[in-house]
Amino acid sequence: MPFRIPNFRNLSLSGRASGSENRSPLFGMRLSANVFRQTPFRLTLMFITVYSFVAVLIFAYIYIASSSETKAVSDAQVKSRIDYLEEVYREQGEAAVLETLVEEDITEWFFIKNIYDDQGRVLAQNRRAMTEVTPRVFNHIRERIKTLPDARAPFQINYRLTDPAGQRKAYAYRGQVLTLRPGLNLYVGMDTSWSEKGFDMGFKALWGGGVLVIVLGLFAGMIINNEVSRSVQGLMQVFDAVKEGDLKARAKLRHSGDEFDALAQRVNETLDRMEKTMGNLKYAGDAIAHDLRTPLSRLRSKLEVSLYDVEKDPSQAPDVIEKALAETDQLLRTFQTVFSMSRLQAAGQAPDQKPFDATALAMDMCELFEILAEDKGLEFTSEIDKGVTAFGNRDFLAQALANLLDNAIKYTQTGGITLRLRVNSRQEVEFSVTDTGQGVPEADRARITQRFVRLENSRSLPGVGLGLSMVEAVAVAHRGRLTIDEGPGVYKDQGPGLRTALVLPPYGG
Amino acid sequence: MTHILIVEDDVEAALTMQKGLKEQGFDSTVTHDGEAGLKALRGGGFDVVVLDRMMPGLDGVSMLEIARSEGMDIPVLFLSALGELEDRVYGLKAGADDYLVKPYALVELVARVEALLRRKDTGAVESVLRVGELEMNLITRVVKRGTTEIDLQPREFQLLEFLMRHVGQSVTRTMLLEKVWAYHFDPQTNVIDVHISRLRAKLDKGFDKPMLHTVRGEGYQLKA
Repeated sequence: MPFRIPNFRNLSLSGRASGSENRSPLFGMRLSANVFRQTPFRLTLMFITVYSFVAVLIFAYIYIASSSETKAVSDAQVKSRIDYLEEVYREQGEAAVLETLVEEDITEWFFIKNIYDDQGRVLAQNRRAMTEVTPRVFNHIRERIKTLPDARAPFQINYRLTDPAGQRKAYAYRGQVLTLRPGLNLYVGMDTSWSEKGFDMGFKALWGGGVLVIVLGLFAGMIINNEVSRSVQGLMQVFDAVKEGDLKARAKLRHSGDEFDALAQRVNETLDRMEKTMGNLKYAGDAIAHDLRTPLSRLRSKLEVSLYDVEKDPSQAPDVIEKALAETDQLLRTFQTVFSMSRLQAAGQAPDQKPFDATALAMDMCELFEILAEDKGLEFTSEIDKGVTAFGNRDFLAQALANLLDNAIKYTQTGGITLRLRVNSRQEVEFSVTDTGQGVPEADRARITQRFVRLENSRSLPGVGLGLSMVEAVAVAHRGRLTIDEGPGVYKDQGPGLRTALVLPPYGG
Repeated sequence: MTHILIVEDDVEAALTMQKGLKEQGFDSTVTHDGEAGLKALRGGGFDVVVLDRMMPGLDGVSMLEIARSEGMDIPVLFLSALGELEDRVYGLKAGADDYLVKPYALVELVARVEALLRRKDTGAVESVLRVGELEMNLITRVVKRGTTEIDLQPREFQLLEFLMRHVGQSVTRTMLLEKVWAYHFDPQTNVIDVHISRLRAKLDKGFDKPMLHTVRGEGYQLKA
């Protein structure tokens, strides 16, 4: 896992924490009791504990294994000496064994050997025994021998002596006793302090290393902890700000490419999206409020004036009420449309989608709107491909097509309307409506799908400016799109016209 | 007299509805929650139920499911402020016969209630429909007013058939789009009006007495 190592220039090992507590990651305010509750630090402690435990286990195993090996080796060595000396005694007699014991060669340096009588008087001893076995030690050896259940069993003695140079020295011998005859006892011990010393050194190294590991581990843990908590605290501050209602709060990116940066980036993206959605909602809310306020106040003043009229001439009452009803209906319709759109957008996709006969839908729309166009003196033509199947919600798509056709008829004074249905080269199902009206300047085309946007020349016509917004919402809810292009072009006093197309993704059936 | 059960938790809306229905000659009983509605329904004596979907306690869908499971086949008109397609589908699946979205025009409510009452008492398959001097043969697809044969496009035929089956009742634009064209959406325009005026031109032209009337508000009515 790529932990990010902080910039060490920020590390302040001296007490230079004043003034920049946030930037001093190690010995600043963070190193308080709650550092132990922070995850990275707790993980570090856990790893250190596990490490120490394992190290102790390994060392104990090595110690046990090698000390039993040491015992076995020294016991065998001691036994071979004793056997040899016993042989000398049996074959050459007492004097020979005493002489052999004293006159040994240098290879026997690891052993102490002595022969003593039952009173504890030393009859002979080798050089090492002379220097390292004081009478007190010798007595100690004899006392130990008495406690042994089997006189020939190997035993260990440890003792410390001050050597002639005045230094305390630790001795460790493992040896055995053999009684050659009553009053003639042979002791041979082997120096095992080399093994003890090895362990001592190993033990010290392990402790030293362990302490170093623990200290470094804690140090690293704190660094990681600070690094993590700095990142996390940055994010928490952002969330706190958002919780308090500040949707503009964003996490600072460090562009380090690590996980925290990636997380901060996601958080920022989510907040961007939320801010935009909230903005949309607010905009829609404002727009509805605005759009409802105008007709509502108009309705109110009309009713107010009508009241006087009705008082003078009661026969006007039905007319007045009917007009008021018509206005109310328009308001409700606006409300309903915005509501539908919001639900579509919130759901992300149209409900209840299934394969349907797109050809039939186009023909039905033709049949519905043809006479509306004809009534206005417009020519209505259609080019509908046969047998086209699409996937979607038929009623929502009918609504969208009705809006497109209604717009086309509304904004066309002369010429005609054409409804087309085809499967395009990308296998998409494309409904398009072309008219010969005035068209929409290119600069305005992106704008006209926004809610409540109406262009100057349409203000005199009925409508509230939701038609194309609804079409777009329906298209998006089908993973399709609405495209708006120029119509057939200018011809006499007509045109250039507008071509709107509702394009649905290919139906894979 | 026709008796309607209104189950609607909004007291004011329920009373307005009751008053409106009274104007049109329908008696009604109002209950304000699902439990009371169910109790009233079990008591019997109703011809049609107008049922609000969202109510505290036992909601409309659950109440309807219980009623249907108890074998009550009374026509039910669902009311809902939700109004989206999936809600309507859900309501119809639960056993409603028709569905009306709030806010609604009173004329729409009355028209749909009348249609439900009508559905209840016509079980027979007719081959000829007659309204006054107007006659529609459903088999030969010939339409005559008096002795004059009227030439209708297929959709005009369906439109007239629907109006004749609901003679004397108001039918709304939304109902026509729903029942004749089988689409559920807000046409936003006078597109249905244009179709009606075409039909009216064929039907009433040359006759002194018009049969196809526009109802103040937002509907049409065929009268003998």
